[in-house]
Amino acid sequence: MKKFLLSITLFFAVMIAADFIFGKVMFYAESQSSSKNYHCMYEADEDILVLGSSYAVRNIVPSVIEDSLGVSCYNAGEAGNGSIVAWARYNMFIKNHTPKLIIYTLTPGYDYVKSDDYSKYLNIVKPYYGHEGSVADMYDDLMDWSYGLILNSNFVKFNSYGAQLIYYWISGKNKGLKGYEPLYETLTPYEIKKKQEKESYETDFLKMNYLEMLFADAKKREIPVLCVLPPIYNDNFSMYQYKECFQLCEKFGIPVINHKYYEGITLNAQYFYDIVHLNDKGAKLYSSILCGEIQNMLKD
Amino acid sequence: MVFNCFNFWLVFPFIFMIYWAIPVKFNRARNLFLLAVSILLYMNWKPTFAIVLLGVTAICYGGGQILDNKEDGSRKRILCWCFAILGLLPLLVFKYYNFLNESLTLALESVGMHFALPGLNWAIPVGISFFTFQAIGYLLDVYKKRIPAEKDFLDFALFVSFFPQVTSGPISTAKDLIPQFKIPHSFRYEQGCDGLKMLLWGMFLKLALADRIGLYVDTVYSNYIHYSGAVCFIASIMYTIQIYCDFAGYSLMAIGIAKTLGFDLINNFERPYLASSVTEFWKRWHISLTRWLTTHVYINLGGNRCSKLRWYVNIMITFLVSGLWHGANWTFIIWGALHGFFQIIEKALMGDRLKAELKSGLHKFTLIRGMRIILTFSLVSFAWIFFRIPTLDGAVNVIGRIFTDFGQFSMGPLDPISMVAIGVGLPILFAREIREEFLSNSIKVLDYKIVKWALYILVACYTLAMGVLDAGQFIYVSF
Repeated sequence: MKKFLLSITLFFAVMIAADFIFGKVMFYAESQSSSKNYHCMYEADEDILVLGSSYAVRNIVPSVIEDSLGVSCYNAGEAGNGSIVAWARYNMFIKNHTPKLIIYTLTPGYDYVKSDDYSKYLNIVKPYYGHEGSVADMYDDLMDWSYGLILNSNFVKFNSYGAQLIYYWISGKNKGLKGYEPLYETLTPYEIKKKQEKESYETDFLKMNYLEMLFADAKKREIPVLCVLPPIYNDNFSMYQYKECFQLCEKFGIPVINHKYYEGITLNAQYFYDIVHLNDKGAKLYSSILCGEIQNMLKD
Repeated sequence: MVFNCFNFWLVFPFIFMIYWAIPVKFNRARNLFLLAVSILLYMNWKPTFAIVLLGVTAICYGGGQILDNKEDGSRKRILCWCFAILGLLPLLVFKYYNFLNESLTLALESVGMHFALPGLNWAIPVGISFFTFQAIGYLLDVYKKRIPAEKDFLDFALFVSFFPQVTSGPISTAKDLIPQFKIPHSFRYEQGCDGLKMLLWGMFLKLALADRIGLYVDTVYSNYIHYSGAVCFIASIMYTIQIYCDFAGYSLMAIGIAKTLGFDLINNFERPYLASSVTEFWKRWHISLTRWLTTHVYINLGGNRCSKLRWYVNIMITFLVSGLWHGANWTFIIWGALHGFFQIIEKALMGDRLKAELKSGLHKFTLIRGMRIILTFSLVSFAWIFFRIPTLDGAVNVIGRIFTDFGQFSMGPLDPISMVAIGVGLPILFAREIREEFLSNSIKVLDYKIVKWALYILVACYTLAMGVLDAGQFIYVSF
């Protein structure tokens, strides 16, 4: 038994050393890749911060905004995510720099509609557990207490994410795009006949709280916030899930620009990758349209 | 509590230390401790599930006592049937009631009759198919006088509820496991190390391969109408690998955990995808279930000691039971029927030759064997489509797409992480499988301790870095 316990101890000692080295390698890969977390945490200095889901990531092009308005812009949105990742990246960003404007793309499905699995949101920011207080707070609020133990391991922090990081590091994919992730294919036109049905949903007040905290903190710091709903390829789309976020925006005096049915873009398949995401051509057109609104906000 | 969740690994070191801290001479205390741990861990799923577990245990224990004292005859046979049905009743009610009810309702409606019993909305006790078969297997062994009835209720209860295997097998026989509880044993370094090695490899299969591949498979199968035939085909191959890694991974973890406590469970998998026939596949896949079905269904039906036609019918019935055991759905029955059909064809075309091959156990690689392995893998992969897709229509549609949609080839929703999992993890799996099947003991460099340690560390690091760590459920835990 003694020999067995010694062997296990030796194994764990080697694993702890490997964990330490892995963490160093991963953080270096973070710094060399187009990691949004790393940028927000250590390099943030842009005037405009874009947050939200794939509606932000795929539809808002920082370079168009920079060229049109002469201000710097960074897209810290994350596909498949909403209020949770937005709150974490907002906190990372403002530690270094106060932006002049925040653009938030509202996506109720990720912002506050109840889903069982918080880990899919928190996995994006878990490498910064222990580095960014809001990440640790969210784990305390949303996850089992045991995560507080296992997230001391770099293997767990960078679990799964590490492979993606190395891929982006080696490929240089999306480097220089300031967080924008373009889509290049074009949707084949088709007619959407069926009206989107209202499905019952439950509001997750924990998730909603992060959105509210973001708006409240921005207001406290006097950072203007602009909420946008980019165009989609669907003229039968129902807005039934947006009630809560509109109420929240009204509460904090945040203007909402609803471009879901934007004439000239909606139902023009050449601008779309799929039914909900613009392709690169559409995103650049939409971003130039948005510049007008942004200009007004910046003047104010 | 599943083995790939962190909370189990917080608790297991204490279970291990307390168990081995109890002196050898207090073997009964050790068994009582294991029994208490097993019941508590089972209750962690849902406390009321333990009532079902203990109920099945009590029925089969009592049945064993009564049957042991009975003379052979019709009375003993009737008693055996009564206890077996009583023991199977929870399984039949929890797992099959809704399926039987719906099927009967549909059948009656097709002839113009309208009758429906109310549905049941009860959660199925975890592992009910496994522990029920294990307990019923004991009962039937006592009836057939293969073993005497176990007098000690606590040892029997431990046999049924033993925590490494209660939720997803392997299905042990009383003859193999109960004597191990009775023999006091000391800790052995080699056994402990073997257990940990199995645990590590099981975790790699489950976390780094099965769960990672499963994300790709789930994405495609949940939306197959949006993917080409090529992508559906890739997803079907990936599912074939996923289910093996998931189930074999879990089984290895269960066997490994039992080994660290000094117990040997049956090895449930022997490189099944390197089988050169579907008959051989079933000697390598879920070996404990195959053994159970062979002993208690196939042989009792007459096995192969009958006319050829009856033999084929026996095979088909056995595999229909296997299909039904896996799930209360017509897709599982079709899956079982397909395997039965494949085996009937094999026996009709190659009967004696197949028997000789299996008996010789030769694993030399030849071109013919290679082609047969590919054919067997293809047939098994085809059948797995019915196992995975929850509806018959869906399964037929996926198969239809594979064979008719020859649109643009693409890999589908393959993200960088999945690419790494497939590109790195699969070769590791294949290398080990091929080494064990065809090259055993011929790679001498693996005998060096430093090489072995380096491999263990690499596999552990890879599993932690690439595995899906948020306690994805084992596929077979839902059985």
